[in-house]
This record gives sequence, C-alpha cells and structure tokens, in this order.
Amino acid sequence: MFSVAITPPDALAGLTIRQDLGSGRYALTGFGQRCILREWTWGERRRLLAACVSHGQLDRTRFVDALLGLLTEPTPTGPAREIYASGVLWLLGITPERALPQCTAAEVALAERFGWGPTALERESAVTLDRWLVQAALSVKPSAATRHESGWNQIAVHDD
Amino acid sequence: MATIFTANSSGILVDNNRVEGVRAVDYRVIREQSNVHALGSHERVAVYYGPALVQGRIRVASADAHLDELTQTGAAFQVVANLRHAQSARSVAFDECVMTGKEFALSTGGHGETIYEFSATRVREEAAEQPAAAG
Repeated sequence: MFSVAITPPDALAGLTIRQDLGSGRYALTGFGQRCILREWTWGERRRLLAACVSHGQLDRTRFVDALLGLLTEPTPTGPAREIYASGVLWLLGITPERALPQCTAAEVALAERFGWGPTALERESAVTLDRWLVQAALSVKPSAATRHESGWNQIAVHDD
Repeated sequence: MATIFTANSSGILVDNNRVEGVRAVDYRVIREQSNVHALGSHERVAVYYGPALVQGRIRVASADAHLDELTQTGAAFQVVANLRHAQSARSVAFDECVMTGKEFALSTGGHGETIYEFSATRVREEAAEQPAAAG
C-alpha cells in the first residue's frame, strides 16, 4: 500500500491526511481519532442532496451527518467531529463559495458529451465526474462542419 | 464554374446498358469538412471530414423506360460515361446510385426532355481502354 500526504488548508490545522494511491481512499488522523474516507458516487450524491435540500436550501447539519455516516469509517465523534467534517467537505471539493451541484443538468451534459445514461453514472465517482464536467466546459469544441459544394460538372453527349 | 466533358453518343451506360437519347450528365460533389483549433494558436491543428455525397442529373430526350423503372423501384444502379478527347479516352463512373427525383422540361428548340436526378456514393475517373482499331 502506497500513500501520499495531502497538505490541508490552515483551517484544518491538526488534521493529517494521507491518500492511498491504490484505493483512492483517504486516512484522516488527529485529535485522538482516525477515520477512513472514501469518495462518494454520483448516485449517492444525487440522493443525499435530494434528501437534504428543500426549496433550494441545504440543511447543512443533516447533510454533514449523513455524509459522515455514509463515507467515513468509523464516523468521527466528539468535539473533533466538526473539524473532521470540514476535512471531508474539503477533500470532496465542497466549499462554501461553491454552488450546489445541479445534478440533472450535469447528467444531461454528460449524456450529450459522452453518451452516458443515468445507469452508467450511478456508480462513478462524483469527484471524478465533476472534474470531467469542468474540463468538458473548458475544452474547445470543433466548429460545426461546413458544407462545401463543388461546381456542377457536365458531361455533354454529342453524336459522332 | 462548370467543367464540360464530351462523350460520344454510345458513351452513357446505366448498369452496362446503353441509354438512348442522353443529352448530358451533370454532377457535383458535396462534402462536409471543418477545421479544428486549439487554445493558444490561431492556426488550425487538424481537419476533420464529414459525409461526402455526389449529386447527379441525367438529361434524356423524351424519356427512358429503364430509368423510369429505377425511379419507381429505388434500386441501386451504376452510371458510366465514356469520354473522348483527341487520342485519349477516360471514363467517369458513378457508384451505388439511387434515383432521387424526376422532372420534365422543355429544352431549347421546344423538344421535351426528362431529367433524372440521382445521388451516388462516389464518382471515379479512370483511363478507359482504347477502342480496337477497325480492321
């Protein structure tokens, strides 16, 4: 097993994070605890957001509780739980300034771009697909094919 | 700009059968292509091609029964035009043709003609065999 250290932001001081390059899972250590975090799938994120978002507003407490229970093993407890939750959110790319993902619109974009349907997306890493969506939005697309018509040629028939 | 070739009167074959009364065969190639550009450069980095199609018209004095049948059935056919220029000979072949329409017109001089419109998968030009010298 080979892991690399991930340097967290200053707000997560006291938390040590390493990522296992084989499985992609993260080990968070600090404040007398240790937990393993796995990335969430596209389907998990969609369902979690559907359960925690109401009228465009996210129930943060409910969301974080569900997130930790779903993705961490064991679930962090006690006073350090809040900093562990911040570490998990940071590793999953969830930052306060980032808007809630529009899952349906993203699914349509992925279907149009790569031909993937909902079943194909279900088990894929949400973090990876987010990265692909950003790249797809940035990539240069070929312009629409231009129709070129040569001039008319005529084979005229003359009697011998 | 139109390019005009000359064919002798026995030079237009449809499925290897001579078509009587052919006045002309018109054709053009329609091709889709576009340029691919990349960030940081104004030059194109590649060209990609889309579908290519040949459109053609066979102008026949009066009408032709075989061409009428092809218009009805939609069966695929081949058109070959044997061209002659001085001492050289060439042939132009239209492969995998299908009829797309038919219309009637009055040519100059008040004679009727039928225009059979077709599309082809490709058009080929190749050197034709020189006819054997009369003995």
